[in-house]
Amino acid sequence: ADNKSMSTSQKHRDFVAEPMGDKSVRCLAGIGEVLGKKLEDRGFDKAYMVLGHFLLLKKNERHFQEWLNDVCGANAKQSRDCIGCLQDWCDAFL
Amino acid sequence: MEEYRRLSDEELSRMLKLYNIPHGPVVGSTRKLYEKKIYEYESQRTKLPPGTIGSYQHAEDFESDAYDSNQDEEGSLEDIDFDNYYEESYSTTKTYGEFDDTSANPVVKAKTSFLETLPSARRGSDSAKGPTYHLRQRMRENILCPSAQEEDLDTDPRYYSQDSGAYRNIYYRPITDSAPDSSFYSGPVVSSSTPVSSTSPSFRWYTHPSGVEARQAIRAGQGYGAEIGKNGRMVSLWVQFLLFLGFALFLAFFYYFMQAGDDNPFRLRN
Repeated sequence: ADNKSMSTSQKHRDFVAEPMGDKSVRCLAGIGEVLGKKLEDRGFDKAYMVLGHFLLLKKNERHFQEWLNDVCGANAKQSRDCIGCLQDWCDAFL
Repeated sequence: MEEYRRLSDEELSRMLKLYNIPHGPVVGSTRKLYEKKIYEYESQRTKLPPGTIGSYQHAEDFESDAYDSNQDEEGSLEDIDFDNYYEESYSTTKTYGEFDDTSANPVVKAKTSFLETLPSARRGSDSAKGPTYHLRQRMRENILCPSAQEEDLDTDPRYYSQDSGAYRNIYYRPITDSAPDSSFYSGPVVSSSTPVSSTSPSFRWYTHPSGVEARQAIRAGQGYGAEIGKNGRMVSLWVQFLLFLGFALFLAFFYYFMQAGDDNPFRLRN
C-alpha cells in the first residue's frame, strides 16, 4: 500500500515482499547479470551481504552509491534502484 | 591519498568526525571508502575557501545535497570555470601594491581590470561594508552602461573630493540609488577573491555558494551583461521607471497636443 509502487520495478516489489533470506545478490533491484557477476567476484554473492554493507555505512545513500560504483561499476540509476530496494526492505523487515 | 592508509582505524574515524562527514565504523570493507572521502574533502577544502566547512555540518541528506551542489556548481553554473577564476583572482590579488594608477580614466580602469582593482580599492573606509558589498558594487557598476558611469562621474563632483579614483567613486555612488537594487544586497556574501590581509581571515567563514556568487560578480564585470541575465539589469530599475514615466508623459502630451477637436478622423473630407 505504498505510493511508491507505481515507479518501482517488479524486481523491487518481489524483493521487498518477503525476508531476503539467502537470495542471490542478483535479486536486488538494479543489479542484473553483469553487476551481479562483478559483485560475486568481489565476494558479495548474497543479497544480505550487500545489505550488511549498506547498514555498515549507516544507510548513507551517497556513500553506498560511491561504494557500489567502486565495487562493481554501478551507475547512478542502478545504484538508486538498489538503494531504494534496500531501503524499502529495511523499512519492512529491519 | 596513500598517507591515509598509514592511519589507524581510530584515527581515520576521528578525522571523519572532525570533518563532520557522516560515517559508520571504519572496518575493512568501509575503510577504502572513508579514506577516499577524507581525501576528497581535504582536496576540496584547499581548492575552495575554508568556509565550506559550513556545508558539511548537516545531516546526511543535506550533506549529500551540499555535496551535490558543490559539484554541480563547479560544473554547470553558467559554464564558468570557477576553479580558474578562484585561482586567477587569488593570484591577481597578490599583486596588491602594483596598481597605483588612479589618474587614468577611472571608468576604463574599472571596466578592464576588474580583478586588479579590487585590492587597491580596499584601503580606507571600504572595510565598513566588507569586501562583498564592494564587489557587488563593482559588479553593478560594470553592468551599468559605461556612458551612465561617465556621466555620473562628471556630474557628481562631490565624489571626486574623496581620494583615489573610480573605485571610491564607484563605491559611493550606489548609495544614492540604493532602493531598486535590493537584489544585490542579499546577505553577507563575501568575496572569496579579495583576500585582503587584514580582514580576510574573518571573512572566510562563508560557504561555497557565497563564493560562487562572488565569482559571478567578477565574471559579470568582464562579461558586460552577457551573463548577468538573472543577476542584474543593464539599466537600473529607477532609471527604467523614470524612462517609462517620461515616455508615458511624452505620449500623453503628444496625444493631447495633436488632438484635433471632436472631429471624426475617419470622416471623409469633402
